[in-house]
Amino acid sequence: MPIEPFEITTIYPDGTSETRWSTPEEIAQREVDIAFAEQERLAKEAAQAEIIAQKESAKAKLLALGLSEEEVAAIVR
Amino acid sequence: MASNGLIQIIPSSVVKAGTGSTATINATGKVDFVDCTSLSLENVFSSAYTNYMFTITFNAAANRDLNMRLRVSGADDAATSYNYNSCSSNGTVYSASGAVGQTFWYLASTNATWRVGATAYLSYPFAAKRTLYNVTHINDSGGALIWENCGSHGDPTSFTSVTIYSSAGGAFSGQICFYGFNE
Repeated sequence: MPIEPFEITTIYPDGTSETRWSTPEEIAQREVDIAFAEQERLAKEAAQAEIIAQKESAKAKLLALGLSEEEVAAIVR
Repeated sequence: MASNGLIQIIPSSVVKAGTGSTATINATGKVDFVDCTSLSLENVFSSAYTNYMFTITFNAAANRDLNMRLRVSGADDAATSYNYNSCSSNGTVYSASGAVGQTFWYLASTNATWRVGATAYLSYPFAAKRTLYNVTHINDSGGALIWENCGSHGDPTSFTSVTIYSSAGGAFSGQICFYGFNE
């Protein structure tokens, strides 16, 4: 998603400062970074959901083999 | 002449972005920042030291992943030169991951309630050698979480500065102090 130009401020030890608008390159990098972060977030969520699904599947199979709920809980946390 | 040990470094300037953000360089070199989406500390690396450490404590109003990039001549290096490996322990849950050819190093994460403390070490950032880094961060979630990341920069370039930014563009607040090892 395109983002608007943003202010960038340089601050010096004596407290003085200068403010400028972001360059097209800085805006483009910000867009890339945000898109990558969203991609990573979705990938992490999918991986986490996959792990949960696999655990549930493993629990069901162990119960079907005759293990007790307590025994299954001890194996699959 | 400065004594041996950790010498606090005063950045020549800080460059920040973020709506309504502020940043202040204190006389000691400590930088306080509020609601920044990115924060660059300029000219903290020099020929004076080979090894550096920085401490950062921060929080935010929502989930934030903070990354870092090396920087020179007023521009971040966002090339695919950053390699890292991570391991974490949260109670009895352990995990590990790694990646090469990334455009950043991972630094630390927080959410709407955690305060986070991270300590990072960098070797050879100013020398025209591959920069090495490792960072450990913890948070006050009430659990026992520790997160360790180590890595290298694949390009043997001299860097003078560093940028810390929020991966998804959200704001973060806290303080950061930079030190050189006077050996």
